Order: sequence, then structure tokens, then C-alpha cells
Amino acid sequence: MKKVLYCLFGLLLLFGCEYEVHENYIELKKPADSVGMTIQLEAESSGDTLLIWTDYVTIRYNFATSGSNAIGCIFQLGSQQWVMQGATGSFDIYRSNLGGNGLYELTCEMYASSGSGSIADQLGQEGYQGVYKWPVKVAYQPTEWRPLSHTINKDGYLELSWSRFPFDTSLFDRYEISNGSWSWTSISNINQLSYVCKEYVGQGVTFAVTAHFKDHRTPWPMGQVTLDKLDIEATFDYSRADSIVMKWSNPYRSVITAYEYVSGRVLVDEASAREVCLPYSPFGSAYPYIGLSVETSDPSARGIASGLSAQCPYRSSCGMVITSDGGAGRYGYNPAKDMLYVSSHGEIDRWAYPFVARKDTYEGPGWYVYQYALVDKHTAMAVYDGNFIDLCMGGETNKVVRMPMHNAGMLTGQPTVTNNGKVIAFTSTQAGVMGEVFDVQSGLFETEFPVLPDYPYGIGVAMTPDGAYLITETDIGLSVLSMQGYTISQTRRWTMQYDNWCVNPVNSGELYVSFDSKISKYRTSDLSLVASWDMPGMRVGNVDPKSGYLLVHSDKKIAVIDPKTGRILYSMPVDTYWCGLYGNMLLSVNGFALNLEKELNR
Amino acid sequence: MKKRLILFILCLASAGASMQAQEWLTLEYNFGYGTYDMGKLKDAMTPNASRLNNLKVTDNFPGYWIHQVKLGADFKQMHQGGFSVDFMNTVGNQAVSDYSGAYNFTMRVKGVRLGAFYRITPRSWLTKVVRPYLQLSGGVILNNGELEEKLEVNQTVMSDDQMKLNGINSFIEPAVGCRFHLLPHFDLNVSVAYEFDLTRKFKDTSGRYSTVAIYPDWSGLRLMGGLIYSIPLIR
Repeated sequence: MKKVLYCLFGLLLLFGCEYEVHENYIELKKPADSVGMTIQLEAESSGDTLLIWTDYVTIRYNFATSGSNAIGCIFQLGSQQWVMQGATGSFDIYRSNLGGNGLYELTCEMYASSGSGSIADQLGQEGYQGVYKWPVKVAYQPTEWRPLSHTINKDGYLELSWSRFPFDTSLFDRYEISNGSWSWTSISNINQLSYVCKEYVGQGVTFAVTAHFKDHRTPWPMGQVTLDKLDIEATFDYSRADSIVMKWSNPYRSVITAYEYVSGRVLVDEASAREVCLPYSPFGSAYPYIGLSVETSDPSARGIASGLSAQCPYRSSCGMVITSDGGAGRYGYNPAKDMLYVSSHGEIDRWAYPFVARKDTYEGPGWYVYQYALVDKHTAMAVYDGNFIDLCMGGETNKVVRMPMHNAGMLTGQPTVTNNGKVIAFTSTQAGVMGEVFDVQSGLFETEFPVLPDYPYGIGVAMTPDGAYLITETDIGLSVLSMQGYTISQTRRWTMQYDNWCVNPVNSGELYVSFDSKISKYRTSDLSLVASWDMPGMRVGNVDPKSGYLLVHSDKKIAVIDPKTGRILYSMPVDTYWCGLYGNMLLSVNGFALNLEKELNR
Repeated sequence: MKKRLILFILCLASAGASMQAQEWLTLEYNFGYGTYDMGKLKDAMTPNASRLNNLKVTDNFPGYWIHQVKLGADFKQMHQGGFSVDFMNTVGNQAVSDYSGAYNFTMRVKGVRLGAFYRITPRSWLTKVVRPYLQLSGGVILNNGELEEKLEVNQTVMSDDQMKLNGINSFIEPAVGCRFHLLPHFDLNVSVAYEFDLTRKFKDTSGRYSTVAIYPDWSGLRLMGGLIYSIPLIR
């Protein structure tokens, strides 16, 4: 029995229990150990270096093998990886995923199949691998402008310069320089790294240089610089008699044009020198500002609003300003001390001839000087201030004698200090114009006298220093009143028309009247004509107490006449409606003084 | 499965012990060849890697050897009945291999057939050496399937998917055979049969074949031969 069982188990073992599957082995030729692989990238590059400088770049690759089939590539840049299937393809690199500007390395692992047809080949598990690497330069487009270098070149022009473009310059076709206001310039020479701006002479402007690319993408900022506007710094030297020397500064090659600011009269036209001579305006001209315009010296380089302009205070008139604030002056002359007193508002400036410098300034308590009367012998100065007359004894403000006006009323006419030490002032009262007499020594009121009872208002009145005549000017004409003491002894009225008149302060017997293009000299005592000169357009100014010369003038011209001969000693153009001649010093209404000593003594 | 088979044999042995002493207890082993239909399984041989070049069906559920053990009893000389256990297996396979690797999609199906048989021998042949008989069998088949899809490249297993299927078929099998009484207790046995599977079932727990019906069909010709050992029952 056991033998039978053993036989059964033996049969089972002999034939087996389970079906054995068959194999399907394919005999294939094994591939070669290596094949050649090449890969080409299409991307912006500079030589072998790939460039990334925009938000993203698209890299296209073309992978070829010799004798095998390309499977794909794995690209690696920093922490980014792109797994690409196939022999060609593209992928994008976003610069935001990179760490920043700098040099990187793009690695490509290339895979190619063997082409043997084996299972591993069919499943992509059998092939060849190659590695290629490219340097990658990442330079983000700067979000802020880099500073643009600038200097003044040897020719005096502004020269801007910038660094070389960080990539291959063949990517772009031009630079553009803009100044944000008047123009822009295009430079097609891509190797040029500087630009000479001939238009710039110191304007406030921002220059920006951008590189423009051939494919019209956003321009690359090369640099920017903001130049502050330069002030035209001009100084004026009035020491020369014939012209004003203006010195001006500008580091750039430029020319300057100077003109009177109000009239527009050109004084200097496109002068390149930094020191130019400006002609004086006629004496008394009231042009306190000069206009300056700076342009590039090259007229062809001038653009719209490319110039630099300024308005500077200056003194256009010849002579010197002798009022402390440059305002209209009121003058008083003391021939005994050869001293001129000038006021424009609440001050009195004292000038000693020949007016090198202001001697001193009086600033009285609340003075607003209306008139002066200068005491000849006693060197006192009477100042009319409201209802008071202040006597500054010896010309010193610390010796002031205040004399209240006797009559309540407005001051009128010209005050006079007579040769015998009296101050004669005139007031308009209800009873007519009254003359009030004060003693210079004591400052006390002495007496008063009526002048023209029938003309209480609006007359011009003045007394000659010798007290012999009182000249009044009303709408009925000019009257000459002969005085005996302070009593009118005789009245003569001028029945002819006149423009202006004056009495010789040294010799009250001489009366000068201008009318109808004539200057006439009369005897004050009887108004008889002594001499007459044809001087069209001129009117009588005054007789200089020092020299005795007669000043006649119009608004545009003055002439100094020797009244004895009628000879014109000197004439010159002026630009003022009033002139005075005191101590050979020509004075204008607006505070200019011009010493004519030399001219009159030739 | 083996434990179940041992228990079944022990039950038959205990039942045989209660028979009449003048009758015979037979222990029979047959070995033969069987063919199988397996049409549905052939349809289900769809590998995932069917795009591989040179992939080929190497085995398509071919016929294969069958082992059969029967425990029965002769009674009234011309009748014989008992129980039988058959072991069948076949394979469907698609494969390709080369120097770089191998791919196999294999569905191995095993069937353990548990059945009862009845055999009748004409009376006139009972005393002769050659004793022909007619036989009818019926029962169930315990199906066991294993599917494996394996890819190995460069000696590295890239994938190895396996799944199991189970089910039970029922069958009926008419047969004709002949016993050759050569020795007092031993007979040689040959038979020709044809199995008809009446019900077929495979349970796919993985869900891979959830949309199609697959099952093994063991229907086919059976050519068997073996030894019959007869043991006289003692009164």
C-alpha cells in the first residue's frame, strides 16, 4: 500500500501541478555606449552668456543627437527646474523667481533614447545623458534711475556720460537724451557713451538717458541727473564815469544779453566775456532793474526756452544815489559849509562835497521832512515837520529847537532863511497866506505878516534870502513884492505867460523866467528884461548858489548857462522831470547826484 | 484548500467502513489531460502595457494535466459509486522580454473539482479482464484565479500588480471507460469524458473587471487513465 502511495506522489512530482508559462524573449542588439548630443538655445545672449533683464524670457531649445532619438531635457536654474519632453520646446524664466541681479548657471541634462526597441528603450529607461551649462547674467531693469555723470568739458559745454550698456549693445539701436522740457536728442552710435549738450547754460533741468531697443521694448534707463538752476550772479561797478562794468559768472560756455527791464532797451547783446561794459542811461533814469538773458554761444544750439534769465537790481543812471532808500529826494544846500542835505522820507542824509560817501544821517523824532531851510551864516537847518519847525543848530540833530507854527494851517511855498538869521515860513490861513518870522538864534516866534490876503490857498511863495523880495505865484500870474522889513512896499505883477522861474539866491535882483523856447533874465526890481536866450523846450531850473550858474532843463536834457554871458557851459541828456544844481552837483528828482565840477570848470 | 481535501477523504473513508463486507472499497488515482473552454478569460487578457512592441500571447489557457483521486465502493459487482477530487489548472499569459527587462501579464486559474460519480459495468463483463463501464459525475469546482502584471526593467521591478479571484462552478460529466483487471486488487483504468460546466462564477474583489463578466469555463474533453485499488470489505 505504501508503495502505491509513493508512486502516486512520485507521479505528482514528475508531472508537476501547475502549468509553466512560456517566455517571449526577443533577441536585440545592444546599443552603443555613447552617442553625440548637441543642443542649441534661442534666447537673448551675449556670446555664450544668456541674458535675463526683462520680466521673463522665453528660452527655446533644439536638441539633436547622432544615431539616437531625443527624449527631452531637464533644465535647472537656481531652484527652478523645467522638465521638457521632446527634441524641441520652450520654457519661460521669470526673473521674479530668481534671487536678484548677478551671474547664474543654467544646467541642461539631455536625454536621448537608444533606439534599440527594447523594453527599456520603449519605456524611456534606456538612453544617453548629456549635460551642458550656460552662464546666465541677470540684470533687472533698474526701478530707480542711476546717477548720470556730468561735467564741463574743455570747451565749456555740459558733457553727460554714462556707463556701457550691461548687455550686448547690438540689442538696441540708439540712445535718447531727454531734458524733460525742451527737446530730446537721439544718438544712433551705440558705442558713444557721452553727450555734449551745447544748449545747457545752467537751466534747472533733468537729463535722462535711455537706451532704446530694436524690438521696441521698454527702454533701458542709463542714468539721470537733475541740475539745479544756476543763479545769474552779476555785480555792477559804477566807478567808471562812462560805463557800468558788469561782472557775471556762468561756468558754461554762454553769452549774455542785458537790457533795461522796463524799456527793453538792449544794453549788451550776446556778449561772451564775463566782464562787460554797460552804457549808462541818461541821468535820472528811473530803471532800477536790469534784465539778463543767458544763452548758449552757439546760435544753432538754441532751443525753445533754453535760455536762462534773471532780473537784477542795478542803477542805470549815471551819478550816484544819495537818498538813503533810493526814493525821490528833497534837497537842501548849505553853501557856507558846502554841505547837501537830502531826505526821502523820515531821515536826513548829510553829504559833504564831493560826495564820496554819506557823511551821516539824521533820524529825527517822527520827522517827515517837507521842506528845508538852511541857515547860511549860523549853520542851522530848519526842518518843517507838520505844525513845527525844528531848527537843527550847527547841523546837529542833538541841538534841536522846536518852534510851533504860529498860525494853524498848512505850510505852503518855500521856506526861507534870511541872511539876517530869520526863518520865514508861510502858512495858508483863513485870512490868507501868512508869513511867520522866527529867530534862528532863539528859536522864538517874532512876528507875522500877510502875503496875499486875496489868495489864501494854492500859491507858490518864496522870499529871497536878503529879504528884499517876496515872489508869489498864483493863477493870475507872477507877482514880485518888494519888502521893507516885513512890510510889502511895492507889488509888481507879471502879466506875461511863463513856464518856470527862479531868483538868483546870491543876487536877488536877478529873476529868470522861461517861456516859449526862451530863457529870459529880468531885473527883479522892475521886471525889466536884461537878456534872453533861445532854448527850445528848456525851462528854468535854479541858479547854483555856489557858482552862480543857471541850470535850465527839459525832461530829456539839461544845460548849464553862465548867466552873465548866456554861454552854455555844459549840456547832457537826462531822464527826469526835475533837476537842480547845487555846488556844481546835478541832482535829479529821484535821488541821483552827478558832480559836474570838472565839466563846468573847463 | 488542502485541509478541505483531507477532511473530505476522511469522511468518505468513514462512510465506506459502514458498507457490506462482501463488497469492495475502491481507491482510485487517475491522471489525464483536459481541455478547457475559458472563452471569457481569453477575452479578459488585456494588459496595460499592450503597446509594447513584440508583446505576444504565449499561453492562452491551454489544456493541461489533470490529477484525479476517487474514493468509492463496488456494490452488487456491477455498480460503483463514490466521490472524486480533481485538480485542474491552466494559464493565460502575454509576455515579452529582452536584454533590458521583461513584461508579463499572467492569469493563472486553478480548479479543485469536488464531485460524486456513478459507474456501471455490464454484468456480462464482470468476470472478464476487460470491464467497460459508463460513468456519470457531477459536483462543484472551487475556482481560484491569480492575475499578475509585472514589469521589470534593468533588473528593477517597475511595477507588480497582483489580484486574486474566487468562485464556484457546477458541472456534470458523462464518461465512458474501461477497467483492466490485471491483479487481484489492482485494475488499470482508462476513460474518456466530457465536462460540461453548468454554472460559472468568478468574483473580482479588485474591481478591475467590474464592467465585464469573467469566469473560468472548465468545459472540455477529459482523457484519463490510472489505477484502481480495491479493498474487500470484511463482514
